[in-house]
Amino acid sequence: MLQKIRNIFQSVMGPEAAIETGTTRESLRQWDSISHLNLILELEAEFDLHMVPDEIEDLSSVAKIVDLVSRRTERGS
Amino acid sequence: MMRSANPKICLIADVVLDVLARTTHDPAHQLEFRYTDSIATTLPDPSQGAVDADITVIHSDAYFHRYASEQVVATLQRVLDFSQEYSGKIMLSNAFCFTHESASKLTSPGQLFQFFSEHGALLNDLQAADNITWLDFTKLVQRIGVDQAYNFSLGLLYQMPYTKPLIELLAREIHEAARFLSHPEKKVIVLDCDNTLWHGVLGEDGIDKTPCDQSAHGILHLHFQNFLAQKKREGFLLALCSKNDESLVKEKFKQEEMPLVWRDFAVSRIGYSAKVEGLTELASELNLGLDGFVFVDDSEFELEAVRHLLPEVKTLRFPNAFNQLLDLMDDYAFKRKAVLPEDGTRNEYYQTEQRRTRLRKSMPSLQNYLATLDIKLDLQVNREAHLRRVAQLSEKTNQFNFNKKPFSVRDLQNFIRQGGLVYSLSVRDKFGTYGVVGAAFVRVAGVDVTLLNLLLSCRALGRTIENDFYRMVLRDLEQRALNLVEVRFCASERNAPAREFYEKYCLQEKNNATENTKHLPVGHGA
Repeated sequence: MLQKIRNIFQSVMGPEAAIETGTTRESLRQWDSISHLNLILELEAEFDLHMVPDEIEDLSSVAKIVDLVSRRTERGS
Repeated sequence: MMRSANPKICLIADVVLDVLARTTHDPAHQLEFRYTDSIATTLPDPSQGAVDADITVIHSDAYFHRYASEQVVATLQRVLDFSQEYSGKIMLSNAFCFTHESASKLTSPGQLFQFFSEHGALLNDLQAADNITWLDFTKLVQRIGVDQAYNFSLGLLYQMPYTKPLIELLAREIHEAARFLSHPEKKVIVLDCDNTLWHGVLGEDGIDKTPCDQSAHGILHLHFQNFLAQKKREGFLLALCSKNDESLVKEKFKQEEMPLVWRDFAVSRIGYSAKVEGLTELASELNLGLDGFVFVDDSEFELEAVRHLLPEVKTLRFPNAFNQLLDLMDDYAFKRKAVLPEDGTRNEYYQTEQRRTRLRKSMPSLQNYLATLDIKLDLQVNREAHLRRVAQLSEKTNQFNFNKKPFSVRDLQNFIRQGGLVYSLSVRDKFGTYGVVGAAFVRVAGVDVTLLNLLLSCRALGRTIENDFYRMVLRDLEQRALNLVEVRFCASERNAPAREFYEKYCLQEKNNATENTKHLPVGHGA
């Protein structure tokens, strides 16, 4: 799953964006608000999930995204 | 004026459409995004040069913003004002009327009816504005369903309330519409017969077993023929290109009651040679470029051959499901930018043209033939009622066009306001009328004038009409005591007939430069 998320990040922010679990919104220059918007769109489409506003605002690091996606996809399966 | 193949598009919206940039794959289009919290109050003023795009897309989402009808009206009024000042083209998204029960005050059918009857004049004005076309946003939402199309979480946080599927559809729709607006429209619809105009194979199944009717097998073909009859009224030429026995096809049209009859087709190639050959011959017979052709066939094999050998032809596959047929009929290849009186007579013109050809063959010389045709020309200057047709000619004419620069009606009106002369030429002969087929644009500065363009539809070419037309324009300028000092000409790949005329009559010495102008006295030449 981390690989899928990394691919989404790179398709949104460019192949040069270095994505690790420790990456945060502050540490990644390309992670601006339009990129964040595109990221949410891609995550929702890829994992077939719908996020509420609180969740979207809280997704400020790769670790948090992995955590949310695992919780939501597990619950769904 | 449109930078033809590479238009600049500005998207002004009350939602954040920047996300479209990722889904955009047409490198020909340059996109600019502008977010505004209210189109009704903050649409830029084009008269101040605030928008320099060729196409402006205006998108106001009444459903997401829960606009009341007053807000919708204010938005539309602002768009109408904008259109009157703006020289480019506007694509107006119909998202303004997309509401449902929880959205605006436009909740019930009764209220909607009241809204349209109260504001009918405004809606009519928008419809009539020649630089506004509709962007069918509601169709896109309907296609995927409201719940799959809207994402209110993102809307609340980022003013961007759409899901990825809707964004993808919207991006594609905008690009297709922009391509349509910035390219010449299609002119000829070429049709296969078997399994396209009717179900089954005529040569195998027979005339009465190849239905085009209300039956399960015939219904798709019936809808398609009705659609084609409408396209003919809008000015498309219909043609047949089929591997078939011609006498059998004629007999089918004669015996069976179908929406289309044999004489609806301007030209045909029915036989057993390759369709690529047939299409090429049709283009030469009609004297039209293949890039104006749409070819509909049910066979992927035939379509693939045409795509491979004649890539300029737009190919569409006749489907076997009704929803796919609706998509096919919705293709931009079948859309017209404006439908004018000349359009409805186009098929008839090409048919009377066949009678002219027969007459030509029976005459000993071209002079005899032209004398027998009894051609009458009528020249008008700055005739408001002709401007839409003149604008259409400036965009569609290729072969006899001194400068291929499309003028909109607004461009022409501005040109006339600045003292310019817009000549329009109507032609008729003993077989019928050709309509408005020629135009000339003359810029006036004091007594010195420049002929910016001379153009003549291919309907009227080859009958020495161009010589008489040019002479009439020169005579009119002389009567106005104006002095023609310059004739502009710009060679293109397709305007060889214009070039030949220009070199023969407008130039004293030949010059090989691609763009040149030449001084000449009034009365010179033709």
